[in-house]
Amino acid sequence: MIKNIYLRCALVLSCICVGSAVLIGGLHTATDYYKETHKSTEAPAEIQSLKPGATFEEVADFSPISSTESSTKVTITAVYALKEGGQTTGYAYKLNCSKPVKTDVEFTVLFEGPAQAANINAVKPSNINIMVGGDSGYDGNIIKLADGIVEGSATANDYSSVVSGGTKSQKFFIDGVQAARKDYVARINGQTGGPTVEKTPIEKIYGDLYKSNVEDEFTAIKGDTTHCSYEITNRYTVTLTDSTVTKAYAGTTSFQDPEGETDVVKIVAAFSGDKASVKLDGYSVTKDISWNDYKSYLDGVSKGTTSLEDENAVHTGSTLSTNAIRDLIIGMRADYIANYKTVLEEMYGTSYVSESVDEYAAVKGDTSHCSYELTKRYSVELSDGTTGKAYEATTSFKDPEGETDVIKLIAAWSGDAANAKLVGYKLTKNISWDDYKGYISNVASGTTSLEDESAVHTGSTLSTNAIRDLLLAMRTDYIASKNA
Amino acid sequence: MDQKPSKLRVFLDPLFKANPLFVMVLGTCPALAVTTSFESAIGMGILFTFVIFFSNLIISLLRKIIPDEIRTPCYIVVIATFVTVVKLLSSTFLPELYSSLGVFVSLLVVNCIVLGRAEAFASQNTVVDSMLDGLGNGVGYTWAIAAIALVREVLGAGTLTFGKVFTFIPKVTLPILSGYTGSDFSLAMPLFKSSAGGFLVLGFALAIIAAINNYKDKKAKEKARAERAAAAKGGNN
Repeated sequence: MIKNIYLRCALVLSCICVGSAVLIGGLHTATDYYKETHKSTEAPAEIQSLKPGATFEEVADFSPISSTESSTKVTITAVYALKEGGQTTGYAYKLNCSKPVKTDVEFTVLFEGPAQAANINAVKPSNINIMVGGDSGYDGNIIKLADGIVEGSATANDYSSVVSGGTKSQKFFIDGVQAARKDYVARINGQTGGPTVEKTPIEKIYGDLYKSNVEDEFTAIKGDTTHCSYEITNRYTVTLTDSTVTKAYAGTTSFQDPEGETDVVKIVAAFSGDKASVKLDGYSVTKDISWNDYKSYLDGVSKGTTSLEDENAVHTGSTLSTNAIRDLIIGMRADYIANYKTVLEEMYGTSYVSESVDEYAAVKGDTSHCSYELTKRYSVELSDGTTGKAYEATTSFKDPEGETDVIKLIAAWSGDAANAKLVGYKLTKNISWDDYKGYISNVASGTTSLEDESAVHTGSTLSTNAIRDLLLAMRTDYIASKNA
Repeated sequence: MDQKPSKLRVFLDPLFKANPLFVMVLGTCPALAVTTSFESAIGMGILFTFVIFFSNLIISLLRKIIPDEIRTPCYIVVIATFVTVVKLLSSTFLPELYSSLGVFVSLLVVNCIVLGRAEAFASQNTVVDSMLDGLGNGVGYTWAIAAIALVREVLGAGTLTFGKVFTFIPKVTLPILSGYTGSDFSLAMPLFKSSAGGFLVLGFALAIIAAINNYKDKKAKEKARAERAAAAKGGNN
């Protein structure tokens, strides 16, 4: 027996620790070996539950793809092939659908059997598994909708099956089903990636945008220069996820190559910024030529290292095409500048003459519905000789889940003190549940009075109340400025 | 002079008379945290029983070797070893159980029941007695948290689900207060799934156990008094 107590303590504790380490180490090795040899071949539960017992194989070469649909931005995050007898008989999709705000809808959907693009509306999912049902408290409606689509009593072809309560989430969900269905029709017929998953040229430029709309009123612009003939065929209004609005143009330029043949380049280019600082955000070539060193020129213009004004910069190795492209881009830029309107110019329309920023101390306030702040004020000279005022403002309020939602907007006012009128507004930060937009539009059109408290019951009463309080504060400030 | 309890009493006492949760009011933290689901509570009970059984076994085996001065760190190393063992085993063979219990598996290292039985019993008694004590406390704690979980899941969710944690059994959801197919009927009270609901159920359980024990004490006293009176009467005769 060891008499020295310190030595004995050290020895006993060491022995226990060593014994413990040996036991844990051995068990660790054994469990690792077990896990390695018993790896599950099952798909994740949310996919497997679409068809219990079936074999799903993840499509290995798949990368998440996003597309912008009618109401939402849909991202297909994973695709699994349904295998039966070694053959692929269907595909299961995992999707996330959301606006660029917090209300997400996540689900998995399974399609089986043959499908043709011509009959895409007849392609019905065989099962749907809702993982995240969007707006809290209304996920029951989305589950009923999913069940209805599977059973055939509801449709995913349009929004006709959407019921009151969580309507946005249901629309997001339908957008997701449609996106998956389009991909399925392509994929089951041997194409990898359906027609909707191919990014549009504008998506290629911005990567992550909310939506782009072609402007119907735009008339094609044709031009001839010493280098080329060009045509700007379409103009697009592009809304990015941060609510920034930019313009994109689709155009064609044709020119003679050194062998005397006519070469054609088709390109989509996007611009942003105000008149004084127009910036080429990027470009996407939709019809190319083999000798395309002009791309390095465009890259330089996009990065700001090359000026469009610098004629010498076209000597890239393919000077002819670069000159042609430069002329096209200059044509696009000229249209952008000619049609550029400031936010306030758009709101006041033809009445707008000029604008200036007021010296203004921010106005803050708290109401029973929100906290608001008027951060910046503009004076806008109007063509009738009067002066309108516009405000940059923020309102924040608690949503039904207890989280603080923030809306930022610019709103413009005109009229004298007795007849203050909301001219228009532009949101710079939005929330997902934005039925209050209808309320503001009605106030602006004069069909709804700011005095009418009952008009806030729009379906998003909390945000509408917050917006109403903000507009009332703006009007008070506007009237005070008129009386000053 | 104290009489050494029988092996049967060593095993049975922690089940009811000295139940660690309902009588000693020990281990209440995991009892509240893991009792939102009946299956999770059963799983926690099984892991707890494993840890306390083997900890008692090893500590009792080493009781004459471990110096008094370092007994607590030695107990903790032994207990931590078995907690690590159950973590490895549960994460390998029952990953759903492991993820549902979360940090409370690791916290068994400092569970007052396990440490208490090591210090108060296993370090002073034979290996067999210590194993029986560990088994008794394990089973006693298991049925106690399972009972709380049963009440909380039925009242809180309105249904009783099996197969979610123990995935080797078929998944079944029994409709009780809600969950009937094609019906929106529901008497479920989500409060009982929250911590406040856990406290309420535990409080009611403790009150009922206390009332039963008080009643038994009263009866025992009355019986003893009657026996003394009968003995006195017999003596007088």
